[in-house]
Amino acid sequence: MAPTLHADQVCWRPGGVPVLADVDLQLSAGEMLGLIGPNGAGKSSLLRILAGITRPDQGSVHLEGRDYRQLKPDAMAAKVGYLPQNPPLHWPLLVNRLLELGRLPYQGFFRRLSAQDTQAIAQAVATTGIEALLGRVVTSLSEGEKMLVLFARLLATEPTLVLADEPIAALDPHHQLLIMEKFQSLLTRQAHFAAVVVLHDLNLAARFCQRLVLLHQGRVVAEGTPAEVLNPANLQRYYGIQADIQTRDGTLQVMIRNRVKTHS
Amino acid sequence: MRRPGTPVLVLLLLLPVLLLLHSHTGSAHISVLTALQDLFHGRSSIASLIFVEVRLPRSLLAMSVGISLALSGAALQGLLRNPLASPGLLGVSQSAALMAVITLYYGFSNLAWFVLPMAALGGALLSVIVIFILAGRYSSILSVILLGIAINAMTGAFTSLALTFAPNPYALQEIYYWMLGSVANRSLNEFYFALPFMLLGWGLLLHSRRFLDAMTLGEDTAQSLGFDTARQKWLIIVGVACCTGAAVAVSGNIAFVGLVVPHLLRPLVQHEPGRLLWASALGGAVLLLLADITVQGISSGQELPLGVVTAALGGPFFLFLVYRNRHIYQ
Repeated sequence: MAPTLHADQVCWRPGGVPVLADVDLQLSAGEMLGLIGPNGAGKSSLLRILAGITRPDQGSVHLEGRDYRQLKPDAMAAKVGYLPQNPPLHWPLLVNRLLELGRLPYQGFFRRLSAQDTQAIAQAVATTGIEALLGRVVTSLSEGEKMLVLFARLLATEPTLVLADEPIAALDPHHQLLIMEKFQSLLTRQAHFAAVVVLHDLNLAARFCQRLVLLHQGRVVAEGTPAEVLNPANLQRYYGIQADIQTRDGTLQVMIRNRVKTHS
Repeated sequence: MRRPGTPVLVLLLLLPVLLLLHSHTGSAHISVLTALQDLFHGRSSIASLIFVEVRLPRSLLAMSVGISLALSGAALQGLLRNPLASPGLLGVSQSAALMAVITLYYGFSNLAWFVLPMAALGGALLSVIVIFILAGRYSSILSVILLGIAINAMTGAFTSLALTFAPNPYALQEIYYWMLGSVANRSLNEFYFALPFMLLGWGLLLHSRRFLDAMTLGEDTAQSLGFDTARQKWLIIVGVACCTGAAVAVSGNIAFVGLVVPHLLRPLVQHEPGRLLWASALGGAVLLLLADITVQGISSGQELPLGVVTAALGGPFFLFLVYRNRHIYQ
């Protein structure tokens, strides 16, 4: 079976500045891939290309064996869900109306909700457990609640592939774990579901992702299981930190000790 | 809970009532019913003549200009996700005004009734073409606004120049009154002239409803929901240009409608940009009809320009609105 997502030799040079160079990436159904790397490594740029928002200058991206360039925008929007970094919420909408935006790819001009739309939204609400927030105004929510609502909006679209850019960066530890656990439960429950998540927290990346891709200066420099990617040599070379790696209860843990002073 | 469709329904019911009231208002006392009966039976009468030549064009223009300006404001505020946006932001209305002022300055406007509106519309379209060429298809909305500001400054300067060097006091007065905005003393010809452009603009803007809803989540998410944001953005800009260009062409600069109406109605549609389009269109028509009824009611002798009334009444009301809603926009 073709992989859910396949990026082949992706290059992106906006204004001649190389941001991504020859990036290959594969993702299978049921998999959560962690995209890690220092600031400016090109993680967000890569995610935007995987989401079809920007077109690569070279290379191609395939979704379930079909080239992005052949996919219709609505068909693609129904399959690929994208959550940007620091997602903006521009108007104080009611939570339930915000969730309905997730059904836009399925709706006509008058935006009437079909039975299927209502069912998908109810399912997304149940999965994220935001029943109590439904009558609230989105701008009055805390960061953690806001992220849960936006995650529910994403799920309301019923995508098979989710691309999330630092979805937990602004959250407290409780909400970080909560969101990551929601991701994990989706992967176990839905056979065709797959996700690429950009993460800065290496411990959470090691704990929740089956596979990690380490980007540095627009290139994939390491790829594999958390144990293969997160080793002291990689962390020193690409992150500029000295760290100890331990395994506790079967989970890899990164204990950061020092910043490497000569690292640029 | 109040249904979000209710305000639209109320405005929809209010519109025909105000249209009737507006066509009843004027210095001559005529019965609209008699005028309509005379028209229907093909009888020529003073009432039917006044109705067709004076009242009907004025009512239709007040309504369509109100729809165009408020709809443009609502769409731009949705596109920019900023409640400060108004149709004047793109420099479209200023460019239209400059071209109109030039025709008044040189007296071209006396050649035929269509010279002034045509020039104004040309000015509006020209400004959009300039913005399009300089900004490019994939430019950010910020560069579009900055270009609009520059165009506003330039056209404003030239308009002031025309006022300073007006060839005679009569031309100066003509330019001045035209710039203040009014729907008085227009014929059906002007309405028919503006209508196709307004209809095109209304169509483009109302069609952007789903896109504006998606833009609540930001440009990237809107794109990921299946919208070609670059294309949608330009469709809205062209729609705004058609609406405001046509409105300025036939009525001059009527201030504040495009800014205040969406503001006023936004809380009533739960801040949803898509629903705000319909509500604003109707609200703009209702507001301008009301303002024009007021103008005719309070004026004796020289009639107050409509643009003055919308700004003079809209200003304090806007202050109150901002004061009441200040906690929302943080």
